[in-house]
Amino acid sequence: MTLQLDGLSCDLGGTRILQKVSGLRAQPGEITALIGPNGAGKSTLLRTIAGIEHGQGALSLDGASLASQSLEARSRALYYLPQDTSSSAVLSVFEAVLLARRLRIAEARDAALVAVASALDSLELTPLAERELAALSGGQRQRVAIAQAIVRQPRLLMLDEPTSALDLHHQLQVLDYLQRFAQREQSILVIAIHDLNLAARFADHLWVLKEGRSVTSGSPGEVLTPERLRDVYAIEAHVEWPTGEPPRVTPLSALRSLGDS
Amino acid sequence: MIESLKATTAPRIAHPGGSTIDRYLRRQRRQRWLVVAMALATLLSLVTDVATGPGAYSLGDVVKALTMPGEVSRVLEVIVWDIRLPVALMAVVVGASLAVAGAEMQTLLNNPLADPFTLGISSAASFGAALAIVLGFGILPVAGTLLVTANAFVLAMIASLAIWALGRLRGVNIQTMVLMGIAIMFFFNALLGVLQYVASAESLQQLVFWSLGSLGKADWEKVGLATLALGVTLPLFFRAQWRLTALRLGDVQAKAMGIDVGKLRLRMLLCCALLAATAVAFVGTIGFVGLVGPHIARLLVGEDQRVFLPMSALTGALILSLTSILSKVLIPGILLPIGILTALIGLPFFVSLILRSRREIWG
Repeated sequence: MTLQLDGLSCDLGGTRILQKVSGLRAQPGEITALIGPNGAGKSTLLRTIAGIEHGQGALSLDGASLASQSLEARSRALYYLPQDTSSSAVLSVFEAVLLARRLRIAEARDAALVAVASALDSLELTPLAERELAALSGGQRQRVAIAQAIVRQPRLLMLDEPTSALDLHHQLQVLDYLQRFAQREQSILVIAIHDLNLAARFADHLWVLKEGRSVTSGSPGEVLTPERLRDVYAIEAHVEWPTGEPPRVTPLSALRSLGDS
Repeated sequence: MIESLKATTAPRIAHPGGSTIDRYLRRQRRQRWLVVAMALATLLSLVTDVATGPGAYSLGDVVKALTMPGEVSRVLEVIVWDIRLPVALMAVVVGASLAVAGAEMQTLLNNPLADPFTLGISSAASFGAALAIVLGFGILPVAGTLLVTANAFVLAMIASLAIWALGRLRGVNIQTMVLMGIAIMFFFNALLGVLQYVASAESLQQLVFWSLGSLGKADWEKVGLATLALGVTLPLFFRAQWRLTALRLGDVQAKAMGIDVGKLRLRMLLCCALLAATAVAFVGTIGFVGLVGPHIARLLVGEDQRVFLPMSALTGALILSLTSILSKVLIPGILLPIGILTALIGLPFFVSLILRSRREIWG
């Protein structure tokens, strides 16, 4: 199973956000981290793959074109977790995760309940199962949203900054769990993320986007160089390569305004 | 002994998360019992409504007339079956219709203030009624008392369809649709003001009476039509219950779950329009029920549409049924317009629920 995209473009409000993005060849069981500065088009790219935004270009999963598939058909194979997961819905955590499962898989009630309980347990959400969404902190809500994503067992899971509201413990816990989930389910994971050190630690590949264009992709060691960081983020950074570990990035100074292109 | 205790407290589903599942199932049972309790309260209110009125018949007589009509006097049978029951049923059906329309409008437009009244549907219906009462103008080729009803229905549908049509335009979001509804309310209120200004004293009085809402003209035909509208739309809402619940997570998450949000919103808004237009056309403008009924239901059982939808319907039915009783007993011998009493009976209940729950019902 592979995800392939070629020449993917997307316009929003008359502005071209994605400009013929190509190059992603994501494999099952692997995590690809999508990195780049604000406004690079990371969220738009994930939404276009999910079918939430309309795009042009070639997009296929397992060799089957996604472009002609309806939103419902796409959602059976893939899932997009948005960055903003806030909700005032008067639903318990258990109900919200069950909802995500029932909209994806038709099965006996007990099987669905077991799947939900397992997902909650995996993300340390069991104590919150009866709490209402509106009563959760941002980080707890984000973990519930991740539980909603994994309970659907997607072949392709795209997460838009899934750790942005999490404390350090839960950042590591969630990314560690997602890594095991990708390997166990042989799913493709694409994660848009700002923290380069987390990206280097958990992702098999990094894919760099800037101003709606694909800049480069490769292993963390290949991509995270001081020159590349200067070019993409306009920063001076020190990059260490400890033996047997992923590279470590220490930002030193901002060089010039990046703007919000 | 200990073994048997363990057996009774073991999770129903053998799984490490079995106790979590049990807690969820308990919550679900509690929600369903609340729906059953609300249904029983509504039934009790319906029977009390039929038993209330001039004639001093006991509750027992009325129940006997309802269950064994052949074994009571002909007079009581006529009073119960031909006069009081259609009115009492109309209160239940219209209350349920307005509350369901309000619940789904709030869900579809993600706005706690959305209901047939605030979105201008009631104002449009009032203008339609005024066209018939003040000018004698009929939009459909009907005559007599149906003229007012038909005009109110057509105008309510036009207002609803205007909001619906706007939603079909590219780039229009739900905030724009709500604003359009508010604009429609002001527009039809202005037109209504023009007709009130030129109306004769007699037709003005008639118009005011209509706009205050009344169940007094209910008959079996109207009850049948209102029930038909509810009977047609409720299964459609139930069929979409998971998708409607998902809408409350926001459009992006709903779309990610494979829901064609635009199509669902437009189809369900059409169902809301049919419900609201039918209800308002038969009984006049009754505010509050469509707004507060769903909020009370939300406080009681949350927003899982499997229970939220029936609870909204029953809450609306109960509010209007209790109001119907109150309209008869508040000043003995005088039937007060029901529209001005709905707030009086619903508001204290609503406020007490909010204060008791002390939780944010809408973010």
